[in-house]
Amino acid sequence: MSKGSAMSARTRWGDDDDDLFGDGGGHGASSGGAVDISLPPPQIIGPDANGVKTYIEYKINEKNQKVKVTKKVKVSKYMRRVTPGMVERRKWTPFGDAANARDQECRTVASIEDIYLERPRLQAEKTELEKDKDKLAAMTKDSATLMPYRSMRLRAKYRELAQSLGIEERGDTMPPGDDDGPPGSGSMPPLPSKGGYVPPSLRGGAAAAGAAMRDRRDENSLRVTNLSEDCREADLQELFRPFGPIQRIYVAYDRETGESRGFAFVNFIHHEDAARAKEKLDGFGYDNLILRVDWAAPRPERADGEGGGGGGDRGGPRHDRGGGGYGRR
Amino acid sequence: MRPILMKGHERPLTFVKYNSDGDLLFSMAKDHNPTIWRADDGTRLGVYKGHNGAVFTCDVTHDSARLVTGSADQTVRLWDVRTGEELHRWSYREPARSVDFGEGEKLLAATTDPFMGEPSKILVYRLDDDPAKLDSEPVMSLTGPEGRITRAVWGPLNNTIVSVGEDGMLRKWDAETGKVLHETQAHEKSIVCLQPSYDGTCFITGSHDKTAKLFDFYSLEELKTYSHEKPVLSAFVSPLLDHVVLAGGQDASQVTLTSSKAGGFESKIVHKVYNTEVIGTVRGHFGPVNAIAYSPDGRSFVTGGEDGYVRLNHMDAEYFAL
Repeated sequence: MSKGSAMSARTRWGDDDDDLFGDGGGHGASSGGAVDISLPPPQIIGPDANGVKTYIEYKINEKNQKVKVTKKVKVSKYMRRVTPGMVERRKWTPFGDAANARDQECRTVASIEDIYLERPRLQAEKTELEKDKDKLAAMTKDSATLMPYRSMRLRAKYRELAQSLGIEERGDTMPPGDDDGPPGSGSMPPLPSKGGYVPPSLRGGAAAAGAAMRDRRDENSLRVTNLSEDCREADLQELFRPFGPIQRIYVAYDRETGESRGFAFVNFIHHEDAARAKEKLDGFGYDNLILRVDWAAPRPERADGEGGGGGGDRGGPRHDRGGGGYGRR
Repeated sequence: MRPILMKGHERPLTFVKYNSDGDLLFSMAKDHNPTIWRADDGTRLGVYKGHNGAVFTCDVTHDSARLVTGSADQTVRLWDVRTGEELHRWSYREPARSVDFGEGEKLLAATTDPFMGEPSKILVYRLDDDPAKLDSEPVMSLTGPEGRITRAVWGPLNNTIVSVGEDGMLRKWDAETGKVLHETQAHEKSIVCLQPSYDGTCFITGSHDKTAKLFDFYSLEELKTYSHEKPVLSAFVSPLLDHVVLAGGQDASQVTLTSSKAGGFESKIVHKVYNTEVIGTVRGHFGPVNAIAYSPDGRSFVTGGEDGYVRLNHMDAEYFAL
């Protein structure tokens, strides 16, 4: 096709498009024609035992590269017994009020909500199973499902155990303790505690806890604020772990509601890891919010007793509220 | 499972019914408009226009050609299922409540409510394929006892008519002579529903006394009692599995009149034989469930609620693997 004749015959924009296509197509054919021969024929494999059918195709993409396209299709047979009456009634058209097409849209909707057959006994079994799972997760050292409330005592115990076994305490987060310690003996109850504040010195295993406290390097501690409410320890673990071994992550939860109060503390083993994390993650967009990462303020003189941790009803989680809550744990 | 919600009625549902093949679904409500739906995807096929009052029950012929409805507008009407055309009308001075085609669809039983001193009645009509030849006069009129007859259905081989009433009584009438053959206090409180099983061997009743009972259709022997936390307003026997489904609930409007709280709007599936074993519950309605029906293949069930919604539940594979 000569370009000149096309130009002269062009009357409408539609032809223009056509011409360009023809021109381009011809061009491609000259180079693609040669490649065409080397394209293997498409294959259809299956369906195999699992009903998966595989389609393999070869084609040339716009960069003149040979591309293999593999499509896997699950084939399932759906049997339905149909009577002649049903076939006949399939052809029925809506009548009366239902006759207009708009009608269907507003009348019939699939439920947005997934409804399950709720099985009374099965649910009880499931919770049992989940409990076991949680326990198992608590046992594993590097578990991602960290419990929000970890008992100081259990962590101390773990530390002792690690030491007695000669395992080098190379950081990472402590194993999350399960709340199965006796109440009031150092483990914090999972939800609103009736017992009130128990000073660390009066808690069971105070000595070990004290040791754990001493171990914590406050100068390596970062305060992370402006967290979203649904951010858990595991999320922070994921976020901060790349910078180096983490000693401890603490997310502040409201004692009454159990919701996160929007700030957390992350203790690194090494100061330089913490510094890098601070540099990288300060101002980092996370969960639609912009994180603020700062050095945890030096611990106040604990004059306010309860500190930030106890005063849960004092404003929302977006508050940037010093290190008071930190000492509380 | 994602149930299909069908919003075709403005007022509470009263009754739902599948046709014999299970591809069509009929829903009755207090809003005067019996509606036909496709039972697979829930699209609305049509509305039977003409009633001037709440519609309480319906029945459909085996070939899905004729529909009969009973309404509070004091009529029982016969409809052409496909076109929505009204073919015949039986008029009374009392609200009509229950309608049921006899086997072979040559007979129709209808009941009327007690009204202005008139007692509740069961009326038997002879049907004809040609609507022009339909007789408006009943061949038999059975005058009921005190109180309302809530449902009357034909017994096996049209020999008997079984009725339940607000007095909690279950009665078997001789369809030839009109005499009461059998009478038993089935429930302590008013019986609100009676649903024959698809195979015709038994039927289930639901009552305000918070129980549902399974009866043998021939002997009227009480086979099982299923207890529920709330009044049973509807119940159905699964044609596929040994399950029955109970539904109902305490209407919020009745809470001040009774000791119990509102709620219990879920459908509860119970094992038919081991009647204390709850298979599971299916939630969904915001109000009491007035109507429930399993599809003839037993793979789905439909519920109609006081909230005006019809919910079509196609059961997951999980249910059949139980």
